[in-house]
Amino acid sequence: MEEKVLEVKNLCKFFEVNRGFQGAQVVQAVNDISFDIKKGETLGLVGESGCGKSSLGRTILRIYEPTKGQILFQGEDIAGFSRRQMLPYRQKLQMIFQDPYASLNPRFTVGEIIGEPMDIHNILTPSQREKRVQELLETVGLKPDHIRRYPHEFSGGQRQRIGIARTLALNPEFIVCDEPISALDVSIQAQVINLLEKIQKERGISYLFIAHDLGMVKHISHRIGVMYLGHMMEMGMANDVYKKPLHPYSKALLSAEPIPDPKSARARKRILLEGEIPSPIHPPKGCPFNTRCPYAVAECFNQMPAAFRVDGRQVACYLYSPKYLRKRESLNIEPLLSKEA
Amino acid sequence: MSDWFEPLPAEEKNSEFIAMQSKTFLQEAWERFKKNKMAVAGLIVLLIFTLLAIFGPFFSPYDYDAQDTSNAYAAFSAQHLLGTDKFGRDVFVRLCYGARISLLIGFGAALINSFTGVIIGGLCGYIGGKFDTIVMRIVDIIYAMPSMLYVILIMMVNGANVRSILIGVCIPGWIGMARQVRGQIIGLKEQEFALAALVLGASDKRILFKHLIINAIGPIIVQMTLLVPSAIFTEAFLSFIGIGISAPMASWGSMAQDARQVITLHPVQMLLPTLCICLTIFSLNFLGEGIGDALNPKKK
Amino acid sequence: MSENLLEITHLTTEFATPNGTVRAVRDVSYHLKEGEVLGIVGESGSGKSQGMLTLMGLLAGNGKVVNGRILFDRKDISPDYSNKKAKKNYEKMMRTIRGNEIGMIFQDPMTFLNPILKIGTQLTEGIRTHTKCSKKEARERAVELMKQVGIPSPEKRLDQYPFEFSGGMRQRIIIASALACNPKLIIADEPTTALDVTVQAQILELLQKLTKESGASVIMITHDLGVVATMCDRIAIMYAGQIVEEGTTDEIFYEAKHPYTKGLLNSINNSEKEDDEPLVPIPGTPPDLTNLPKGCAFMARCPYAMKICAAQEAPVTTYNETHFCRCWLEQMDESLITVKE
Repeated sequence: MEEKVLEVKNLCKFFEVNRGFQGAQVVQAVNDISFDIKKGETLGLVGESGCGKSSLGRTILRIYEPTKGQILFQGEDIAGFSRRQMLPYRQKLQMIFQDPYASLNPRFTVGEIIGEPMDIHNILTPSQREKRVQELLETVGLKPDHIRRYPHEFSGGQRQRIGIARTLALNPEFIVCDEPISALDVSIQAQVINLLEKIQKERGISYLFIAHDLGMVKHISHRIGVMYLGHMMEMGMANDVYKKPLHPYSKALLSAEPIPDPKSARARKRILLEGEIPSPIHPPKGCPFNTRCPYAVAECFNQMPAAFRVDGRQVACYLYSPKYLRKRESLNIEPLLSKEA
Repeated sequence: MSDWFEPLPAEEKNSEFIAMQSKTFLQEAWERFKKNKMAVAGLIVLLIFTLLAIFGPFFSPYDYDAQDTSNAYAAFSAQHLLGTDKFGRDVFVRLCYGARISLLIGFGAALINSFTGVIIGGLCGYIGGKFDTIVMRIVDIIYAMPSMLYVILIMMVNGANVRSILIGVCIPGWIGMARQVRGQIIGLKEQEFALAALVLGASDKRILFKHLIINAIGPIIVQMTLLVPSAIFTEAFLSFIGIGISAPMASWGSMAQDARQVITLHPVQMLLPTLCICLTIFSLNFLGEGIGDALNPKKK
Repeated sequence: MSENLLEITHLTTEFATPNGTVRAVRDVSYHLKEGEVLGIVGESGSGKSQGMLTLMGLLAGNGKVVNGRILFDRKDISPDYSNKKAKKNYEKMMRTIRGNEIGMIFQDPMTFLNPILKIGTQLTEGIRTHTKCSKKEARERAVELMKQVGIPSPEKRLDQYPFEFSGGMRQRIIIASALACNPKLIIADEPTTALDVTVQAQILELLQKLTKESGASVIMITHDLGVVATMCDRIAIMYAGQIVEEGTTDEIFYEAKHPYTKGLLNSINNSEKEDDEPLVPIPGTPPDLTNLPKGCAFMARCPYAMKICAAQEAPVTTYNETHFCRCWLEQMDESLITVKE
């Protein structure tokens, strides 16, 4: 777990939208995000729709052109690489998509779908490829004789496994999992999660696991990052973040998650946030959460706070700035850290 | 004691079953198509016309321009299956030649237009940006002029023959197809399977042709079946107003034109070529509709 | 205990499709008391929504009610398509009940709201269809409803169009329109699936508050065990068109009997669960509804399946007046076996 596979430094991705008479408007989908992922590690990324978690995953894989920042893969900055330069890296950086119905070409057979990456990168002869496809099908728990069938004959969970087999065809070292279970039925989600965990153990692959289902993310991730409107609000070890979220948004997000356990659901008090997520086209000035934050102070409306290191994790909130921590102590206010929701 | 409460052996469970039987997209489409009786009838009529256009003249001793003025306006008979026209030429043979021209122009134009339209529309949709804007403005300019004008201009320069009509029809003919394909590609390229191909390292050519255009094949074929009748109509219309296929060559339009003066005396002369045009267009429309329904699984 | 508001017995619904007859709802019986919240949990294709559409008389054209009796508020509202006259009467009756005595909340608020009509027009229209009142009175009622569901400055927002509202606000409007005529029963079909977690928490809270105030009964259709744990008094678990287990929320979560219910509970990650407890997925894929096995539909995925499970449908076991289960494991009684070997 020492070697860094991927390191993202100050990555930004801005989209221009509505090029109309008023000129272009800019959506800051990914805003100054930095993190790293070690070999064999899973970083979970949670947040609500529009928080930029999918854009971040797609920017790292260069589906979107990064606006600013560095993407270091095994020490090499791939952020500015041309398509030709990217080609060898395509084998090592892969992606699993959200929608198992849209991510497989409906006109291809399963064999063609899983064999395509080998065809593109000219790996193995056609007959060897067929054997490899059959092996991959077995790895993901399907039968080798499914090779001539078409995607529409499979159920959602089976298709998602076909998608995973396609990704594995190139022996990748890093996979972005873009909400791979959110379109699946509850009883099927665990199949996919267990498969991903098994593959990780066997091959030492690192995952960036994007999801909005907090329970599942906690299960698969070693570390977790919480995003809101393009910013990373909090990042730390999965258990720490879950047991004791620090950032006011993480607290609200976790307490809003419905617990599938009636007793603890009854015992728990939810933190209900006011209002909804602001439009990413007109984010509030300063910390983007200031419109809904129950603890917002004057600074929050001026400038986005830097990430402060607290308890071995990063929290982008002024409440954890040294100044405020000291102030709280001197006024003998109970620190937010121990104030549980 | 029965063994009903014994555990069920795993092989009897078959939990990773596959719901449907294996059928390719085209097999399924063909099965849906077969159920549409009008479309099948249209296909058969078109096949008959095609066979007559190719082989019809071989079975007749007459040539399309062999005149026999002593035997003008002959009635249907064993010698002249569908009678003769004002110069005593065999109407059946002339209709067969007319079918040749109509079908050649119809399918030729459809093929050329489809090819151009798919390539240009595909590139515009896939590349987007400035390239798309420029090409689409050029398209708008071509589209702004009446399409008949191109045909007439080309025929004035190149003479009245099949080639001129084809070229004339094909200058503006691909635009509908290009727009259709462009729209399809713009929608498809955001789909996850196209992104997946990009992440796998597929080249632009591969993504465009193997992933995107192949998935737009349904609308492309439907658009193609619309291109055929419009080209046939154009030829028939031009020949009818007298600037299309020139004598003595026969086309359905020019035969109808010849029969115009004697419509009261010999209405059959008019009836036969117009019937041929109507039947062909009808068949093509039913066929197109049938293919459209068969290829559009949402209507299932 | 108060009287049963709704009683459904032996409801069976089929659909004719090109691939054969889909048996979407198979012999479903349940009841609902006044003021009670019943959760119907199932995966896609389990028939949970089709059962509700049958109840409301809103089946698609190829759907057919084969059997079943529905008693609502001591009235018989069983679907009757036996002849033209009966059909006409039935449809007329349902029109007076729908939106009046039974309110509906759907998953996707955008398909329910007409995009080209003002919100106010749509709300007052619903009110005026079922109650005799002037336009002005209806508008006053609409303003009151908007206040109830927590929409700020309702007078102004009544004159806006659906696209000017966010997803959460639209769902609030749907709730307002469902409550417009003080219904006795509210049917909520995946009311929060399309929403973000923090907004979902707001909407669930609102639903809970409003139904408690009005005393209406609620049927909550969802796939989310977390939502039912928070919201419901009783839960029915559906699989392949059948209710396989029914009980109070605590009975389902803590004393589950059916292997499918247990499987569902094991395959989700409860954030309360200890950290590295592995997920236990249910293997396989839900069955093809056109080609159901002769015996128990869950047999192919059940770890405890016995030979009888493949041959004969399981009998219903009753534990107490609220808890039922449909499984052979609970009734290993040879006298119940009617099939021959």
